[in-house]
Amino acid sequence: MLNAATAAVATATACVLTVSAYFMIRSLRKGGCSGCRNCEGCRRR
Amino acid sequence: MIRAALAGNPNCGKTTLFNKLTGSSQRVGNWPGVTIDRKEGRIKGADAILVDLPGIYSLSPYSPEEIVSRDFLLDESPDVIVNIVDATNMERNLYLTSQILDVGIPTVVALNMMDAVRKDGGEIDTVKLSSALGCRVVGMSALKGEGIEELIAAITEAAASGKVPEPLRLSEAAEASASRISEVLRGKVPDGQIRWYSVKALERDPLALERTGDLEGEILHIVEEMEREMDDDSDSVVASDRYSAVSRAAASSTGKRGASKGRTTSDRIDRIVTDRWLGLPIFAGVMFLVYYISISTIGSWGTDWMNDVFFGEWIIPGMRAWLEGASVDPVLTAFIVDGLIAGFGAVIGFLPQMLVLFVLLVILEDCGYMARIAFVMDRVFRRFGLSGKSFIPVLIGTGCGVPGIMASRTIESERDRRITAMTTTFIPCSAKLPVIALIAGALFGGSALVALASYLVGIAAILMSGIILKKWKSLAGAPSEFIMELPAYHMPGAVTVFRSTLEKTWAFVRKAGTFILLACGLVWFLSTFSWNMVLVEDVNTSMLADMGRALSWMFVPLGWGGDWQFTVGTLTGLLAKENVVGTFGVLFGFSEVSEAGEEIWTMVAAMLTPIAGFSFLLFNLLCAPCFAAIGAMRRELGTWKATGAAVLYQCGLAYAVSLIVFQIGSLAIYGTFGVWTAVSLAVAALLVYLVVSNDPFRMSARRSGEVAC
Repeated sequence: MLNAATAAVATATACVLTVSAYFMIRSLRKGGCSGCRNCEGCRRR
Repeated sequence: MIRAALAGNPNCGKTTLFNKLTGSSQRVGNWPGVTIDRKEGRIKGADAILVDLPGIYSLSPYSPEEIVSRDFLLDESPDVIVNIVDATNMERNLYLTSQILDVGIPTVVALNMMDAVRKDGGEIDTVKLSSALGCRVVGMSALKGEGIEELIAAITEAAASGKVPEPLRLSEAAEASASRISEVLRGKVPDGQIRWYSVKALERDPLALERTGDLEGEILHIVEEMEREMDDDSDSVVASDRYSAVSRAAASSTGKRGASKGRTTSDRIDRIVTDRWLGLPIFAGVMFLVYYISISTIGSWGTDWMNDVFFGEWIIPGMRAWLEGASVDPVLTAFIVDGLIAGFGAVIGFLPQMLVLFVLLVILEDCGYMARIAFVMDRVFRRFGLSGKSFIPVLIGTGCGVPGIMASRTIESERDRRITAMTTTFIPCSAKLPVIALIAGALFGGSALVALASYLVGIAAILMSGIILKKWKSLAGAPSEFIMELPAYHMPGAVTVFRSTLEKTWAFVRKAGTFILLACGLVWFLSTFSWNMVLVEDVNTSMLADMGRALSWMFVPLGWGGDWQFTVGTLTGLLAKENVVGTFGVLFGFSEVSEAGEEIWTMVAAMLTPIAGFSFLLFNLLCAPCFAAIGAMRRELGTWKATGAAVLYQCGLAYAVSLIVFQIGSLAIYGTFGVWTAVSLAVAALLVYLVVSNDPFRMSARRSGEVAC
């Protein structure tokens, strides 16, 4: 049986990993952008 | 809304001006080729959009940048052209201006670097220059923010008036011929661009002639008549006329004292740092100093503190105590502390070293020294079948391989471009620096020589590949021409250094928080459970150990295949190179940090001899880059087949170099000789043969007079 603390920490960890995965996928979709501002990807209008 | 185009020579401060005008923070590099594609931004305080075009020397269609810029000016007809001119090299820059004035669009000349002209004791009368060019000229300094308001006002005024400048006058004969061509073209091209098409057709510009359709024969007849009359090629006549016109314009504005007086401080420094013999040793000395400061001294003090105190005493024990105190499940606690934090911390621990390194590299770039390196390296690269133009992607690749590979796009010769895209990642990118720092710290007492050697090996691998790959029929050919204007040295701007360092550092942290964090979580999971999902007591019985062992036999001849952890580190490094260190953080443990705070280092030192460690480092530096860089290679090489061949070549070369270093190094240091020593000697002999054997394509090109070396 999970205690409340474990459930809370597991939820928080899952949130962190989800956000991390979101930014990783976003970066991969930009062609592995490292944010160097050297190409069209970082163009700011 | 006004639409303005920013055009100018490479490295004349265009992107700096773009950032000043738009409040943007586009990447600024103190070498040519930083602006590969055009960028757009809104001008602060004006109802105008500014388009930053790639740096060009002329509007001839010889390079991809020139084609991008002229297509934009002709096809999208902006309301105003802002032509940025480097005041310290005015005549050369005005050559482009002379072509822009032909396009038939209102133009404002932004005379940049006026502060440098004044510092050298020169002076330029912008009113007289304005009168000579027939358009508004604004003196300014993009770096210091001088004249920005005046320039914005001039752009708005030029767009509102719509006044098209008068083109500079060519010689009588050229003007007469251009006028005849104009009559032929009337009604066939837009009226506003008729002057441009006439002069370009007179120069036999292929793309301009292409647009004249069936009139080409009639136009060429006029061109040939002029060539007979002038006894010279038409493009030479027009170029000479343009230079005469810009010389007159420049002379009218600079008076007797000129734009600068005689030999400048930059010239005096360049006599030493670009010297044929001193250039390379000075470069090696500068880079050694950079790594000595960042890896061995100041940076390493910061890294020690991060490992010993920040993670070793505060974060890891603190988090563990807090989770245990809250009765959180021990497996979840281990996942967070030994997996996520240990892996993330192992990489972030190197942040102080990276920070110092970034600051130093940004200073070297901003003051103008890095541009000299490209010039010095051109001489070296040319001997090996490549040109200095291939070194610009390598310089960019020291930050990240992805833009480095993309920068190869600016190389005109397709063969050079392909070779450069295939070899750029041999130079250590910032992601590989933690691996270098780890091996240097664990096995070589933190010596800066390890980092210097890594860079020299990277450059040597690029040069060697240049020679070897040029012997393949599909990649053979003479090196591209490389023309580069060296910017005047100046004190690095504090804001530029701060901003660039911050961007690089943030990119490093962001990668650690995404790719590395997730990969470390996965590594922890695979190293904690067996195939039937049972927690393992001994990591050697985990899934990860089995996976590592399935491949580690391949690396036994390289000296580091005995322990599966190094194979796993190499594989996870394909996701992002920092993962090599992050993986060790998980596998070797960060939580029970030793007194010296070097748990990972101690473990690595216990498992590898220095020569095996160096072999491991070289393999990871030279083998296939991360997936993002492989994707960039695919975009530049065009096909997966070519990309696969490139990755295979990289891995093959990495294996050969590591094998030679480990086997021959072991023979020299420990006197061990075995079958693999003999194999490594044979591989070394094969590599030497591939390098020194005759290049059949170069010889045949010479015979047919195609190569002018």
